[in-house]
Amino acid sequence: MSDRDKRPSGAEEELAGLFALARAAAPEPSDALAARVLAQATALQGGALQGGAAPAVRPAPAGRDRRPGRAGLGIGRWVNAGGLALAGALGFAAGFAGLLDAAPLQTALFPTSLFPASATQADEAAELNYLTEGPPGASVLLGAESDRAE
Amino acid sequence: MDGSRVRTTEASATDHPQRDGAAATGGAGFVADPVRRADALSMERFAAGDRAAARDLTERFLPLCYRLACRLLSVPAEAEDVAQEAMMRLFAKAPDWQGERARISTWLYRVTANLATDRLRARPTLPIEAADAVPAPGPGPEAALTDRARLMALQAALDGLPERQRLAIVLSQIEGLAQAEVAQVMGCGIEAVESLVARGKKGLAAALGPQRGALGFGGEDE
Repeated sequence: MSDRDKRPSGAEEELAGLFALARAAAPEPSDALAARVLAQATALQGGALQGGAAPAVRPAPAGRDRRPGRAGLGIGRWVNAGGLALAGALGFAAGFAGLLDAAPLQTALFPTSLFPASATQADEAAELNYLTEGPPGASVLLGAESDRAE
Repeated sequence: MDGSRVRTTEASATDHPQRDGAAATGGAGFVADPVRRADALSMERFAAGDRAAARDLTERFLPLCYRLACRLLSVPAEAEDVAQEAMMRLFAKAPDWQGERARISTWLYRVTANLATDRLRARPTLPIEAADAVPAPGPGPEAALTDRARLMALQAALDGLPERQRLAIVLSQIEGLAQAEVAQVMGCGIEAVESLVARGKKGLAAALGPQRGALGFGGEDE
């Protein structure tokens, strides 16, 4: 260890003396600063008292709580689950019926008066014809064209 | 400058690495430490609009903020601004003060240190009138002159230290905080505080060495 490393013991004492001096001569805030801070503090309190700030602890509502309680939330969850299960079952039934024959389900679900079977079948036939053969009369024209080409 | 720095967010001032086992509730109801309980009661009273609590808090804690700000900044006008800002933050915190988390003094030391550090970083160079922060000591004109010279020298030497060394020295050696509380304020471990203080003392000794004779410490450094 060098002399310089040993020396701080004396310097330590001197530093301790300086620290003690600094503690004794602590700077104090001026009265003007204290008055300013106090004025701002009371102004802040005034704002809070007039409803400008949130209260320390938010009080519980005095009246009846209209939000659902734990029991209400539980019931709500069961209703939601039931609805989901019902929708799933209906979807499954619809899909299953589609594999076999859609007609029974359609007739079961929708009254035939709304969708007369004959009318829908006729519409479907007309649409198919239009797609494969063109509009009514087109076959005649096409036939004439082909004749002329020949 | 030291690599790490004191976190400068006000919210971080309530984070404490060493938490006690008190129940995590607000207010003063479940606070085991009597100082924290008294602090929490004062804050509750303040939040409830008690003017006496405002006066009490100001009288108890403004000097603390101002002292620390003076020692870190060396400029009384800046120290006033920082102390005022720190107190305003304390008052604003009153409605949701969590008494079990910190003493007001610890919280304020940290907030003041952060505000002062921000100020120090914002200014380009050390102010020439740094010695203005040194109050005139009391007894006898000759002794007073020596004491004033010593205080000015100490302040100048402190100003020359890295931020965290300066804060550790001021809090532990001048403000008289226990190492654990300094660690809380600075957001580090006790070992780190010890190291900062040791290095800070070495830096001060080196800075003051050439002035030992002039300061009446028994002759010039060899």
